[in-house]
Amino acid sequence: MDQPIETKLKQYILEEFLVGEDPDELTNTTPLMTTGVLDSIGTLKLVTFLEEQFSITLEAHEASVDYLNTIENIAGLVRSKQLGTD
Amino acid sequence: MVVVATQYFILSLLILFLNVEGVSFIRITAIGGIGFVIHHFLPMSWRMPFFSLLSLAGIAIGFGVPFGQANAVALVAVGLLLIGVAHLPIAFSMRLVLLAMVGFLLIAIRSAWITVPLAPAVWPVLGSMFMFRLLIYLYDLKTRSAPFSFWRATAYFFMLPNVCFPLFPIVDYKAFTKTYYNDDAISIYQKGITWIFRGVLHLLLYRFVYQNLLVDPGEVTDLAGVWHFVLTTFLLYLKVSGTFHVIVGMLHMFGFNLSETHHLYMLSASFTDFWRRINVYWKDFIQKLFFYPVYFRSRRWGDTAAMVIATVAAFAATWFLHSYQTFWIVGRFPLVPQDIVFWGVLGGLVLANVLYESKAKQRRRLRGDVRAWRSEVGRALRTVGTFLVIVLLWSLWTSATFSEWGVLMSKLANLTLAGITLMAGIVVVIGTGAVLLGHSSTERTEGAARSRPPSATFSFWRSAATTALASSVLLTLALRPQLLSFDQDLVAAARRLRSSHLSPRDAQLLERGYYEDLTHGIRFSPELWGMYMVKPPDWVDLPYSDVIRNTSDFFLWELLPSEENTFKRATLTTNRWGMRDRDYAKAKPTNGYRLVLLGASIVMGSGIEDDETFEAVLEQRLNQDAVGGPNKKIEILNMAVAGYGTLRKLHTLRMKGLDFDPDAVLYMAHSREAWRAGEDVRRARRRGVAIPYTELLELAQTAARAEGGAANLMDREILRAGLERLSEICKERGIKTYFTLLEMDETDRPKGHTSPLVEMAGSAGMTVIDLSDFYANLPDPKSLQIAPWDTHPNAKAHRMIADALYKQLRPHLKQDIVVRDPS
Repeated sequence: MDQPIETKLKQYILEEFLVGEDPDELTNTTPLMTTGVLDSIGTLKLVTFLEEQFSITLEAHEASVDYLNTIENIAGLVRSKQLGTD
Repeated sequence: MVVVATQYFILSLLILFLNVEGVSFIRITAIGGIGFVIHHFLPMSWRMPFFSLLSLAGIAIGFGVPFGQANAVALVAVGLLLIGVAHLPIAFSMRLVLLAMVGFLLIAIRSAWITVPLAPAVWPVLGSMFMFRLLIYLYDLKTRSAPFSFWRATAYFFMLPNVCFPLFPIVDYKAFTKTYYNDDAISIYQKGITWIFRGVLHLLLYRFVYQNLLVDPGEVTDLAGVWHFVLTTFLLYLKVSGTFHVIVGMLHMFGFNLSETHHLYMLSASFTDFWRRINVYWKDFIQKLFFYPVYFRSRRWGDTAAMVIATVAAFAATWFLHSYQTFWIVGRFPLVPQDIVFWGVLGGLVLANVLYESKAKQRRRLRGDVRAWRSEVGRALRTVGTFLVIVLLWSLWTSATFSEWGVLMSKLANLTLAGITLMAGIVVVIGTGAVLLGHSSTERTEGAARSRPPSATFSFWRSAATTALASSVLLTLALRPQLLSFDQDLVAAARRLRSSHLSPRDAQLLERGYYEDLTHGIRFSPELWGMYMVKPPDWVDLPYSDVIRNTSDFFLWELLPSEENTFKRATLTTNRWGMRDRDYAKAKPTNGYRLVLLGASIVMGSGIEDDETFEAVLEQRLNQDAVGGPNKKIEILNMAVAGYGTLRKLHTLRMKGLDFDPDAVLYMAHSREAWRAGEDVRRARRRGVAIPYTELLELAQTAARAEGGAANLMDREILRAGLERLSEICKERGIKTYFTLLEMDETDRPKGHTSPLVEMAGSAGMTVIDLSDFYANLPDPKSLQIAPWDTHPNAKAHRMIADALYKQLRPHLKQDIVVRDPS
């Protein structure tokens, strides 16, 4: 069975941006963009990861705090894209 | 609420007594204070409409009072038209086409290609409201990423303090709507108070640097001078950071919980970090409208190529839009190579950082950085290195020419103990700051407030106590500067902080602007923007006027003879000899006493009528009072021409004045006389005209070299040599020479000692009539200007000059006339 989106996202963020951090500290509601975990370059890396991993396409205006600030937000965006509701 | 309102009141007094940002802003601060209290007690659904109406009232008071209500109405009407077009029920692309057409029409008006009967100040203010915010608004409208309504739109574009600030932070529309009361109201207000206070501090520090510490690049001779110059030039950015803090702080008072505009930018640890910290709103704007869209469209060529293309696009847009911003302020689009080099080099450095960061694993922390001495030293060194590169690059950006900057940099090799100590001081201060404060490099963008639990990290009482105490101390010192009497220099500096007058460098720039297009030169001078913004298109400066003709000799230009023209809205009539004066026979009357008057624009009488010049008034009074005796007729021949410096005044005397057989020469000087002397030489060289005083230049060069060779020393020595030659010529012919120093602007007030110019003239054997304190004790020197945008003295000032000259000149003339004609 596939891992949930949140688990894949958490794993990616821990490996790419939070090397050595305690995984328990990163929750689905931990702010990422507004606390500096994701800066503009990190955001673009994340976008590439989302598109490749979940076979979706993001628009430029979606690379924002509204959609990518927490794992919960990101997973919601991925799901809406997969369902074609966005 | 009472505590917040009290702090706002204290800050308003501080802004009033220290005259922060001028009369209009003082009025807006008062309106803001009253509006803030009413706004807070209104039901939530009424608050946005109230803020919108208050902003319109702010335009009526801040703009309508000084420029007329018709202009304020026009400003709002054009703004509403733009908002209306953005919401027309037609295809979005058609709306863009219509807006582009309106935009081109407005550009044509701002460029004076089309004349409209409105105050020139309408367009810079309209530009500051719409030139960038409309782009963001349209982007958010297209992506439907924020709520829209009439009141939100009018509040967004006309937002309260904007009318006073041609340079306004680019507030993001989405952030403007989404951060609205997204936290506890009192905490938002208190944050606003703190930011207003912080902004006022920045602005006072800026004023202190601007008034007291700036040096002319021509004065720099060694390493210490170079660092003094580059640091003070960089510190002028405090004007921008201070203004932005005040503006965003005021928006907090109405519930807009926006993020900070600047974040410890002097402590950036890399060039990317600097770009993220120095103007956060600008970075967000460029990222949202250029970097991300270009990156997403370029990904077909791979991520690295997309990153390169997007970064280049972001910096190209930054360069273009900065120039576009200057266009709306001064009416001309500056194409300045220094801008292109600055943004090009900074873009290259940021790109290198971006590429490195995109390849490397980024190590972020969830609970703050773990500190180790090795990483701290690394951070300190990186921060110092970034700071030094940035300030040097900044000095190139703001320099008048590449060669000026090159000469400046060549002085780095002149090592001195002071210079080395200063550098060491920079390393220690910036390095320590980096370790203590530089860790937080979070990109604080839209919606930052939501990243924390409401008010969890904000201590209201600590903030209120600190701000209230500090602003009360500043207010006390502003009202009673004598409390600093343990150091008289501090008292003088505190007094100067109350007024906003031009620095010597800007006064010089303004004067240059009367003779050449200085659009690029003033792009870093907010003090001059205010004057250029309100200057009407028909206010033609000398080179573009009908009163002069260019010559191929050293005069470079001269007044057209026997002409009656309008110059700066006043009649300027010349006699057959090309003097701005009544007609005189070439031969001196038998009972006549002749005085040749040499000077520049003030003496020529820029912007006043023919019979209002101090020369005309003085001549009439001397004869009316029969100063030379009942039968003696005194003639003052006004040979002044705007823009003439020492060597051209000398040339005027030799080639024209001596033909009229003068008994005396009155040389009128100005506090920037030395610079003007150098300008004669520089202008002649630029035009390829031979200078007939090469021996004087050689003498000046030798003297200047002996003292270190700085450019302004050369100017001073040209002045000295010119005055000595003029005096010699007169002495050989028995002509009496008078030298009058007339200091016309506030910056030229004497500091309790004799001007070096006076000493120089005295040493050259001239009789000195010192009017250097002419403006020193006047309560409102600006009321004596011909216009708010032109500092030349008006008719009233000319009458006062005539009066002052009469008192001092009268006994000298009487005595000289008696000596020449004892009968």
